[in-house]
Amino acid sequence: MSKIYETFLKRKHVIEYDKDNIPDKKVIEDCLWKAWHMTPSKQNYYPYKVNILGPESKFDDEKLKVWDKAMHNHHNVEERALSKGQINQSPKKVNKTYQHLSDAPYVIVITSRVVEPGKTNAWNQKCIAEDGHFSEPEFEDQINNLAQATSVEVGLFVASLTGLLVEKGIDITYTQCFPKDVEKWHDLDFVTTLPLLTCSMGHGKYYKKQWMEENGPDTENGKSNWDMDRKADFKDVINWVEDTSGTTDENKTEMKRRLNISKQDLNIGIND
Amino acid sequence: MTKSPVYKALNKRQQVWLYDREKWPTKEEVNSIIKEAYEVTPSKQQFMPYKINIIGPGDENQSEKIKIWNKAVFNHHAIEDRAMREGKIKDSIHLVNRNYQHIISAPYVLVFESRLCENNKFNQWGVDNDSHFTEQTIESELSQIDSLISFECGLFSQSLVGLALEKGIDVSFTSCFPKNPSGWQDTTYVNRTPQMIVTLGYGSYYRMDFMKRTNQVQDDHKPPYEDMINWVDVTKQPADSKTFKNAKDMWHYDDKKFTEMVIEKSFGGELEINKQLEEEKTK
Repeated sequence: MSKIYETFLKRKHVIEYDKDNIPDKKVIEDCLWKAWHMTPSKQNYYPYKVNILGPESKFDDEKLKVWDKAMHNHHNVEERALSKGQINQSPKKVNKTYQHLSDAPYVIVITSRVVEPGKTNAWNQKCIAEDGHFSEPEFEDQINNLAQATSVEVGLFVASLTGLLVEKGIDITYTQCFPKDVEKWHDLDFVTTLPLLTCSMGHGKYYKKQWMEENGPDTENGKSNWDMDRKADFKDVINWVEDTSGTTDENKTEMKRRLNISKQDLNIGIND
Repeated sequence: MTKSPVYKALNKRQQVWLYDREKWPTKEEVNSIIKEAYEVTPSKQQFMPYKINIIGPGDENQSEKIKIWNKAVFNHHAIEDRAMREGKIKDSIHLVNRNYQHIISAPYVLVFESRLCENNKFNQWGVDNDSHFTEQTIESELSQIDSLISFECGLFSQSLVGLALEKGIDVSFTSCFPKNPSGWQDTTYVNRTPQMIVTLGYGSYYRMDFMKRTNQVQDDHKPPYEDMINWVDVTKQPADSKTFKNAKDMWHYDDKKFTEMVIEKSFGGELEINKQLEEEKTK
């Protein structure tokens, strides 16, 4: 059995963390370092920053503010949907799936990061000087253009971190419901650029799965919330392409020309 | 020496420039690791709001891979042209970047795109009986959750990397391509926002091979750990530290009753939930 499969399969969404059993900061630091070390990034820019609120009580207010962002954003989205007639009511419940942000020993807010031009690595500097390379992560006005690709990279980093933590019996939980407008984060000084993800780490005490299994229309007869909350079908997510549109003769000629240039380029290469 | 199997596996990944064209993993092997990645990757409300289009290794698919490669190259040049117009670079040389070469030589090319979803029974119950709003099921709302979709594609991909590397299969990424579906009109399968391009196979020449041969490994380093990982220190806030506004000011809600409720829940709501949960646990 695949160790990777076994490990990743163990991850569960935490609703409440154990406040009496807090992972050692050194263990968390080790996992963060390994995740940083083993996660790739386009051109080694890593255009994001991982801000961590530690387990000390001095961070309690900051964690509440992060939780507050999720909850209010949820209500705000509901309000917008109600105004557009997409839902019939907006009761503004306090959603328990955000609870992990308020009581986790460690809370993370990942934000976009502008790379200081002086810190662009030597390889990229050579490419800028010799090949007209456009170093997008150095420009603050490119943050939104890069947001999609940066979010993918955040996913890669967080998946690495998840595997490392789960191996050590530590839980991690994600929340993507928060305001994307940085102005809405004005009360958290470390959030000064586009927020990309919030998550929490610690030892779980009560999980979403437990709640889902214990509740539902008819839990004893296979109608718990958990039974009803199935993943999207594999066949809906995975599409082995069989019907392709092919390409025009004109495009084929152009592609062959580019392919030849590229092959030659591989042999000589930049800075040979 | 680390004992972490996750670290050992994922730390092996290298960006491929050329894949082996004589030998490649079978479709069954690739489908098996994709299925495992699907099983272990979580998704908000179980939607998995993305679709993975896979172009297989047959000769009949080669022109399709060249088409995808072409999109990466053209997009790269278009971005350089734009940067030159904006005065951010001096020249737009239109080099054919070898970092995209893996797309042409890969036996398997995966194109991730956003997906319009359907509610499962649990979500549908929430929609029918509560205020549950499932953006993933509404075409016009997909753009609102674009960063969520991208993040989840990243989660899936890194699981896939680990599972593939365990079997000696290489995985490489490209995020340079037209982000608008209109740039993919010549394909039959990309109909919504494309999210990323991933390739799989057995690598025969890696980017790192080139960097080693030309003695440039030390030049292509990551940013320092400290630049990326920030342990927040609230005792060292700047002098102009922003004060906490109340929710009414922050969210511009007009409804008086609602704003009062929100403010009340801003500090204390979490205790209400804890109480509810304690009650539920003892049921």
